[in-house]
Amino acid sequence: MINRLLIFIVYLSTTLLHAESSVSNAELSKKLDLILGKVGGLEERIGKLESDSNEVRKDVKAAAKTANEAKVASKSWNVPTEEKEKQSFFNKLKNEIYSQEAKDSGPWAKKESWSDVRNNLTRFQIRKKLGDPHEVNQSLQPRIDQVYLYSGDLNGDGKKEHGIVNFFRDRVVSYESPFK
Amino acid sequence: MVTKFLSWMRVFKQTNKQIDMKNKLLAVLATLSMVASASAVKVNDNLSINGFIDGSYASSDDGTANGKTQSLEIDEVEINFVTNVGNVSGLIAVDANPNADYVTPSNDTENLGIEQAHFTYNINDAVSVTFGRYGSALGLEREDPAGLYTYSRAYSSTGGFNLGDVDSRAVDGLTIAYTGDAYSVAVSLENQVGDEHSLETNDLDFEISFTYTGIAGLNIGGGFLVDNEATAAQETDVVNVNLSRQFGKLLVAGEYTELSADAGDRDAYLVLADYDVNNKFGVALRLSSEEQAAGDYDKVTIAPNYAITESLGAILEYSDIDDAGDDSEEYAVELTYTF
Repeated sequence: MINRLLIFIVYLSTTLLHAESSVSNAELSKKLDLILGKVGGLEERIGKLESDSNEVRKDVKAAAKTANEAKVASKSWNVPTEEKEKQSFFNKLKNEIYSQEAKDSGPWAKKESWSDVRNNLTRFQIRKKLGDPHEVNQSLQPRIDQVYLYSGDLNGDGKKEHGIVNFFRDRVVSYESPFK
Repeated sequence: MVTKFLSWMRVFKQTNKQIDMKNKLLAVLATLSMVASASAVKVNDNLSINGFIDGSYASSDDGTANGKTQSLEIDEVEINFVTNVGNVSGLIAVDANPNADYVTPSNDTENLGIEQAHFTYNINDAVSVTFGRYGSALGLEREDPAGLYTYSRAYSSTGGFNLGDVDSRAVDGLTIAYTGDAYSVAVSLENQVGDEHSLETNDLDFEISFTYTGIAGLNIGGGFLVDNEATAAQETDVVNVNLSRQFGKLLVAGEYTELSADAGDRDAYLVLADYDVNNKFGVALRLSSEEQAAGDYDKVTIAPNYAITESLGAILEYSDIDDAGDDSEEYAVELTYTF
């Protein structure tokens, strides 16, 4: 359409130029330059419009792809209708939530934190490395006077993993990492 | 008529005492029920509640006509509130001796009370400051039944050598401690709790203690405490050195204590061996001797222990005692439940 319009403009201008027989060559050349300049500007605008249209097309394509992916992903989260599958689904979901909560509950949930633990550290040093204990227990064993207990389901299997640090007179005498 | 009135008054008085006792028992029961629920429900991320119930059957016989005694009783109930919030940690230990003297409450010093209450501020990894009520850092035998290898303590209750027994020697004080990789040193400025309720008329008491744990399985501790009193005649200085060494399942420990008072110097020692046969069963053998004004108090104790569950333990004990020439034997079965 635009091309046709251009051709028509050029044709019209040349026809008009023919009609003015008395116009000098210099004026003619000047007008021709003016027309060519306008045509150049139009071509530039047309190019830009075409480029924008390509980008819009790309965006639309990407959005369609994302929507499709979301649709596929949401299909796997559909709550099963069968009772057994439903129970299993909710159990799995519950375990995952508890597991995430345990993982977020402090440095004790990271394996590398336990690699720094050793005998003879103080309670304060242990709290700095592993975080505040979830429970502080007494022991029947006279060689242990306080026990720090860290617990939580770290692997999402529904069972709690336990990290234990035993102290005697404010020094670590033994410990058990939850990452065996 | 007057006799009847007095009799009625006596009954009335007893009823009041019974009510008082009932109230105290109810308070203990309420506290225990609170603990039962607290141990099942997490209070918050920074607070833990633990404790123990300790009871025993004990029998002693000194061989004389009326020298046999028996007791079946709850010895101590304790609830600990432990907090950890960043650089600050705290402990409140509430304990009760259910055998306290309810008949004559004015004589009673062992009712429900605050055994320990202190908090520690860790300035950094090495330096900490503790303020509150706590026990001595000296002594091999520690504060609670769960901290003992035996049912009884090594020394007599009157000799002043049970340094780690917080029930008989708690202080209000301020401790500054330095902790290195292998050793720690602590200085405690303190005011004795008990007979001395107010600040000392002269200087504060103080205790300097150290521990060395640089060799795996070896623990060396000791220090000295100065108990300043109003008069020099009442003052007491104590020096204690103790060590324990673990050889696999066998632990060998010993301590020596010297107590200097105006009446003269006295010393005491104990040697202890504890062998864990397996995770549940162990045997402790202890020899101890304490110098007294009237003569030595020597004791030999053998005490097998058995962990019925992870939280319930039993100790069976036999002790042969020579108290300044008077021999006696003691048998005891102790049950300790921790939670």
